[in-house]
This record gives sequence, structure tokens and C-alpha cells, in this order.
Amino acid sequence: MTLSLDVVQALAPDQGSLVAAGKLLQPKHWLRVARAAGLPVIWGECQGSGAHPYRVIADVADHGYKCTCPSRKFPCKHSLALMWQYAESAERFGQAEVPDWVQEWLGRRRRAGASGDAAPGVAGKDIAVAQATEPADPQEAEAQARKREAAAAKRQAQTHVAVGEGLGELQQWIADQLRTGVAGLLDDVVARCRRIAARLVDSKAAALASRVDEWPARVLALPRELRGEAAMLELGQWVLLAQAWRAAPDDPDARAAVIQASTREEVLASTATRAGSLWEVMGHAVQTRRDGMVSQSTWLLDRCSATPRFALLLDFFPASAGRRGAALAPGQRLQAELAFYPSRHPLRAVIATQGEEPAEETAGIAAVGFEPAADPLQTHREHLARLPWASHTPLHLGPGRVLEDGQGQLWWRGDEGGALRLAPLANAMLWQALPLRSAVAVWDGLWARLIQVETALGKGYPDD
Amino acid sequence: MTEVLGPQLDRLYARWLVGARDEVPVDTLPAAWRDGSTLDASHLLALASQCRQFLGEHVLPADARAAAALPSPRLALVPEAQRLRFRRCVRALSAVTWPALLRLLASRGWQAHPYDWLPEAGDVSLPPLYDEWRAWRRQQVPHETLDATSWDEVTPSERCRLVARLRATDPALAAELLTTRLATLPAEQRLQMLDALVPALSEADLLLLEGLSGDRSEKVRLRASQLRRRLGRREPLEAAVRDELKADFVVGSSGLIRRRAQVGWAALKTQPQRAARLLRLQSVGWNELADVLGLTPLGLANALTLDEPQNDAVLVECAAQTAPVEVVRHVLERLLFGPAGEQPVPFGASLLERLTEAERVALARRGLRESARIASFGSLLAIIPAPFEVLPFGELAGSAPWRRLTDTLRALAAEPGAARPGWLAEEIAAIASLLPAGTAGEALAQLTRAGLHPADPALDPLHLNVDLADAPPAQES
Repeated sequence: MTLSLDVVQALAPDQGSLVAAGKLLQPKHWLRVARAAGLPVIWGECQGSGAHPYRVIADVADHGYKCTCPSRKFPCKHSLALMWQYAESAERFGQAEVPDWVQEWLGRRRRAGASGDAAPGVAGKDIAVAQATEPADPQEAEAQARKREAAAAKRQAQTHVAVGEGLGELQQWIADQLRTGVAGLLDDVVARCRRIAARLVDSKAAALASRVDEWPARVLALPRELRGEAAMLELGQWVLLAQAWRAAPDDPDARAAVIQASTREEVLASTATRAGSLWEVMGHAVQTRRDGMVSQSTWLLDRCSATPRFALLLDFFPASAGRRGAALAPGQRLQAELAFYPSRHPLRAVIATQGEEPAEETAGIAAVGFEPAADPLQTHREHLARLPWASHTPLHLGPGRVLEDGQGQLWWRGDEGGALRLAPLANAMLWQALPLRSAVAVWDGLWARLIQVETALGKGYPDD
Repeated sequence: MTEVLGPQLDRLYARWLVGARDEVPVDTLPAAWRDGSTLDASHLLALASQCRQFLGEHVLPADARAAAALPSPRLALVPEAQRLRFRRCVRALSAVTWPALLRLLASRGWQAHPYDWLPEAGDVSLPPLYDEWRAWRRQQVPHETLDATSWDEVTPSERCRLVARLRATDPALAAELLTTRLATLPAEQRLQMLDALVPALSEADLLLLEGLSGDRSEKVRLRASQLRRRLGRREPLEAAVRDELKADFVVGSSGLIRRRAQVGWAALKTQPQRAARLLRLQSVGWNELADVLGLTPLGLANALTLDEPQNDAVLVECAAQTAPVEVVRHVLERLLFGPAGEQPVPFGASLLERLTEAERVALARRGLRESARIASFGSLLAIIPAPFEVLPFGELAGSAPWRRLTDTLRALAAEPGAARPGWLAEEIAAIASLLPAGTAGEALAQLTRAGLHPADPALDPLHLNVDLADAPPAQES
């Protein structure tokens, strides 16, 4: 079961792919690599730019491959890097039991090298060139590094000026909406938000622009009577965010919310906030955005923590790439170390390392024994105290009940007191039918979206 | 604090909602905000929205209610470890194979988990164990029995189900209700109720059926006359109709030593003539037709040439609705086990419903062994009302549908890039719904040997069949 570098070179769609693959050869990029006993199959999990590691599989016999990344190059750099590593150091690939996701691929694919037939040949590509490291002369390299740093500092200063101007425009725009009436804004919310979002993009405030651009869809999904309240809440948070950024442009939270979050590589390189534990998938949310991307949110709950601790894995991929199955199914558990994005209220994370599949267990969250809070929104208020512009907070809810009022509005009522307005649910009657032992919901300032409940019948996923 | 701030924030929100060009009057602001460095509207908005988030409390409306409790499942719920696979089946299976899989699980003592799947209120194709959940979805308590009061409270399909049950437990009350209340129902429901009489149709129903001969709906009159005929009553045909029927067929004989009657279709010149003939056949009984043609009822079933499938289908339906059950058995024999060269005649469920469950199982098993006309496991699902209790793998492996399935899998494995036909997953689901667990396990092994990977999602129903072979643990009382 061997593979030669010539094959990798022949499979690569272009020289660029080989160069990119060459940068992924170091073990630090791979959570694991392994091979099957008795089958010519290798696989690995590579840290890409998404929250979930990319799952890469290759057949070393017929040179078939598969990767979960959204690249439109076939094979992608991850597949090439996996095969390249195997060609150079097969001993790093320990024998392991074939995981389900590899089995599923094996089950779906056709035998015999269809992909090998489609390989574009070796012309114009050279694996040796792709392996070549950078500059030989240390002085020259140092000079180049200084040059790069200076350019980066200059760019950052320019960005600060541009973002400041953009936020000033946004605040002026908000003041205009208050003067002319928020009701008018709601009547023309898509076009108006689109225009100010475009200005924010021009001002390099990309993350805030995205929030502004996506907000109309959120507010229009609400019942008419809640839209005014939702508008005041959101506009107020934009003002707070603008003020926070002006006060501390380098604050990681403000920067992530206004310009862009840290890159995955930066998060993984940092050891500041890591948490290894047994995590359970609570639910998913998939949203197609106006910019043509699909965002996939996966909420995890730490089963070993004394108090409810959540993590959010956030992935983006182009809508044109088609529907993608969730990498993690609701109810699935994983023993993993998560690296959290730097924040005063760490929530968004990526999987840094993942252990073996934990033993199957059916006990639900209620069995973990989290103490239910007297105020169901206490966690959200703590979140707001740290990040006043926080738009979503995951909540663990203790024993309670789902109810429906005369207007058809759903509510959660805690056995220990407290109530929450709930977002509409498919099969709403079903979730009202039995007392809840526990529930997990995502609160957005106006209502909570139930994503997991547990009753005498077991676990259910209202949003799946 | 909330009591004071709340109304002030409400006033601010009301102001911003409609818009205001002048500055916010200081005396309308909460006292603590009046000393602030700025009274800029956007800053006030930021303060106000945060206050609402921190101080806001959700007050449950007094009229908020929970739904009625979900009725307890009759059987054990699909266990947690199988639920993910079960949910995949919910999404993948068709309207034909899904109820069949539910029937299989029910036969093993398992019921779907309501959080994975809940029946629609009007879905009558499901096993009766889901009746309580269907009634619950209609926000009704399922009625256990029927009387003059509850007659109007139940849904049409539930009324039919209860009438069928009442006919077994209290035939006198059932007859009384039908006699006095049937006429009050709309024509479609009267028709539905007549169908509910079929499983236990007896001489005792003749009085009711006679009474319907003057019903205001033509469809009800026709259905009642069909049921009367099924009970052996003959309805006199007018001479003109007899003549027309005679002209519709060609009666001859074949065979040199043993002469055998043959009944074929007369050649008609125009489409309207052919349409009129089919219409005539829909309102005539099997026995009367045999009389007209000078044959016994069984003799007619034997003499049909069955060489025009579309026309023959009308005769088959006539047999299903009006012929004695011996004729039905004979017709089915001919349809399923006729000579290979004969064109298959399409037939519906009404013919099979005349047989007992045991007869249908025996027919399906024999069909699997001998009939070249059972081309798929999907078509077998229409014959068999419940999974096989016994079916050795050898019998399955020798059948034509199995050979087609495994041959296709081998061809796919040998031909890289070939698209998998859409029927393949549906066929596997049909097998999974039919087989006893031991045979299902062998089928699973054979299908993986033929080219399917064990983790292939198409095999999910078979895995469920095998994994849920064991009876569930006894439920706590």
C-alpha cells in the first residue's frame, strides 16, 4: 500500500494547489491521520478555516479522494497534502478502526479510479518547486519582514480612520431614523439597511456591515407587534458597538464585531482559552445570508462543567456549493479540546483536538444536574454586561413547560418561576404536551429558540 | 425601579417609533439620565435598549395553556441508540415503504419516537397503534365506542372505524345506528361507511343495503348494489342491457378433445361505443354477466382470454366488487400465475382485500417463488398486509426481484461512475419491511457482498430490522 509523489503531482490541478498543499504538510495542521487495516484507505482531519476540521479521505489504490472543505479545486490542497504526507512518511499513519464518515464515503463511491482518469497530468507542475522553502539570505528575509510589518501598521492606521468614519456615518444614520420614525425604517428596512451596510463595507467595517445587512431578515421574521421593540434593541446595540470600538479599537471583542474575528490559525496558535471536555451537540442553525454564503452554527454544551458552559462552532461556505450535511448530529458527543476565540465572554470556538468517540450513553442533560437559575435570562444579562452588543445567548433552562397563549404565541414557564417568549416551533403542540425536565434555547433579546428539550419520553430536537 | 422606568422607556420608544425632529424633553427622561453629558438621541436609545434588556421581565399571559398530554405509547419507543438511523429513514422513505416499515416495527413491539416522527391527523395508512396520537393531533380524545351522541362528534374516518368495531361487539346497536343515522351523512361519507361494512359483510346487512337502492346518490346506489351482489343477490337486468352485454363479448370455444369456453372482447368500431361498454360493465354484477354469457361465475373467470389489459382491468374490478370469493381467488390465480406470454392486467387493492390475511401471506410467498409477474418487492408490499413471520433466505434469494437487485448492485460495482437507479433504495426499504430479522441479517450480508458498503444509508431500514429484532424490555407498570 504505497503512493508515489509522482501520483500526487499528477493529480494536482495546478502548481498553486501543490504549493498550498506543501504548507499543510506539518503535523500541527492535522488533528489525526490514520489508515485502515486491510483496506487501501487513508484519512485525516485537517485544521482548515472552518470551525470543524476538514475530513479528508483518499484511496491510495485508485487515487480517489474526498474532502469536506468547500474548495472548488479537485483534488483540494487538503486531499493533496494527505496523500503527499502518506507518500513521504507512511509510518505516521497508524492503523485505526475505520470511522463512520469514512465508511459512508466508501459506501457511496464507485470502485476503480474515476478520479485518476480525470487527473490533469504533470505538465506545468513540480512538487519540488512547491516544497522549496523561502529565502536563503537571512538579512534579506529580515528586511522583508520589517517591510511587511511597516506595511501592516500603515494598513491598520488607514483601517482605523476608515472604520471610524463609517461608524460615524452609521450613528448619524441611526439618529436620522429616530428623527424620521423607526416605523418608516421598518417599512423600507431592506433597502435602507442595504445602503448603510454598503457604506460600512466601504469603510472596512465588514463584520458590522454583515450584521446590518442580515438584520432585516431577522426583524421581518418577527410578528409585527415585536418589530418596533426589535428595532430599538438592535439600533441601540449598534450605537453601543460603535462607541465601544471608538474607545478601544484593539479590543478583541469590539474588533471581531466591527471588522473581523481572529483567524482560525490565530485562535489555534493561542493557548489563552482552551477547554477539553465531553461536549454534546445541542442543535444546529443553518442560515443563507445575503452575501451568498451559508452560515452553519452548531451549539455544544460541556457535560462535565459544574455550570452550563456552551460553545458555538461557526462555519461558512458558499451557497452555490450546494446543501451540506452537518458534520455533527444533534445528540452526538465528542471528547474534544476546544479553542475559544478571544473574548470577555468566550463562546465561539474551533475544535483543537478531538479524542476517541466516547462510549454511547443515553442520559440527557437533566441527568448532569445543572442547578436551574431562578432568572432564566441571568446568563444573557451576564453576557450583556460583558458584551452589550451581544445578539444571541445560549440558555440552559431547568424544569418547565411550553405553553401557548390565546394569540398563538408560545411561552416557556419555569417550575421555579420566570417565563420566556418562544420563537414559533414546528409541531408546537408536541412540545407543549409534556413537562420539560430541561431545555436548551438560544435567546436573541426578544424570544428564545428551543433547540433541545428533554421530557419523560427522552430527548427531542425541535429545531432539527 | 422597573415600575418607574418602564413607562418612561415606553414613552421614549413611542416617540422614536413615529419620529420627532425636536430634542427629547429632559423632564421625560429618567432622573438618573438627566445629568448625562449628552442627550443625543442615539445615545439615549443605547441606554434605553440596554435598560429594557436588563430590567425587562416576561409576564406570562393569563390565558397561556399547555396542550393536552400526549397519549402514552402503546408499545416501547424506538431506543435511543437507533433514533438517529430512524430519523434518516423518516426523511428517506416513500409513502409506500414508510407505513410498511412502521408495521414491521409494530410487529416487533416497537413504536416510533414521537420526537422523531408524529403521524398526521388524517393519515389512515398507519398501523392502528398510532390512532391515539392522530386523534391527539386533532385535539380530540379518541372515542372508544360509538352511540347516538358521539355519532356526530367523531371524524368520518373515526366513525367508520368505530362502526366496524361496534359491528363485532354490539351488532344490534351498529345496525340501529346505521339504519337511523346513515342517511344524515353526506354522500361521500355514506360511501365511506359502506366500505367499512365490507370486512364483516353478512346477510344481516341486506336490509340496510336494500334500503339504499333508492339512495339519492348514484355512487351510493351502485356501491350498495355491488355489496348485495357480493352476498349472492342477483339484480334483474333489463332485456336491452342483456342484449348490449351479449354484443360486448365474443363467446367461443377452443381445444379439440376437451372443448373449453373462451370469452373475448367484441371489436367495436368507435371510441364512444367502447366507452359505453366499459360504463355498462361498471354497473353489472359478475354473476349476471356470467348468466348473460351462458356460463357459471367460475366458468367466466376461467374463460376470459385476458388479452386486452386496459379493458380486462374493468372486468377484474367487477369481480373484486361483486363476485363470490371463489371467483376472486381464481381471478387472482390467473393474474399472478398466468402464462409468461400473457400481458399482465393491472389490479388494485380491492381484489386482494377480499382474501384473508393468511391467504394473502400465502399468496405473497408463493408469488415470490413462482410468479414472474411480481417484479419488485415494492409490488409485494401491496399483496402482504404484514411482514412475513417466516421466510427462509433461500426463498428470497431464489426470487426474481432479489436477482434483479443483486445483479444491479454487481453491475454498479463493475461499472465505475454509473448512476445508481432510483428504485434501488426503495426496493431495499421494501425488503426491510417484509423480512423476519434472521433473513434480514442474511440479506444485509449478501447485499454488502454484492457491492453495498455496510454504512450505506440505503441499508438503514435493513439495519433497523436487524437491530430491533429483539422484543423490547417489559415496560414499567
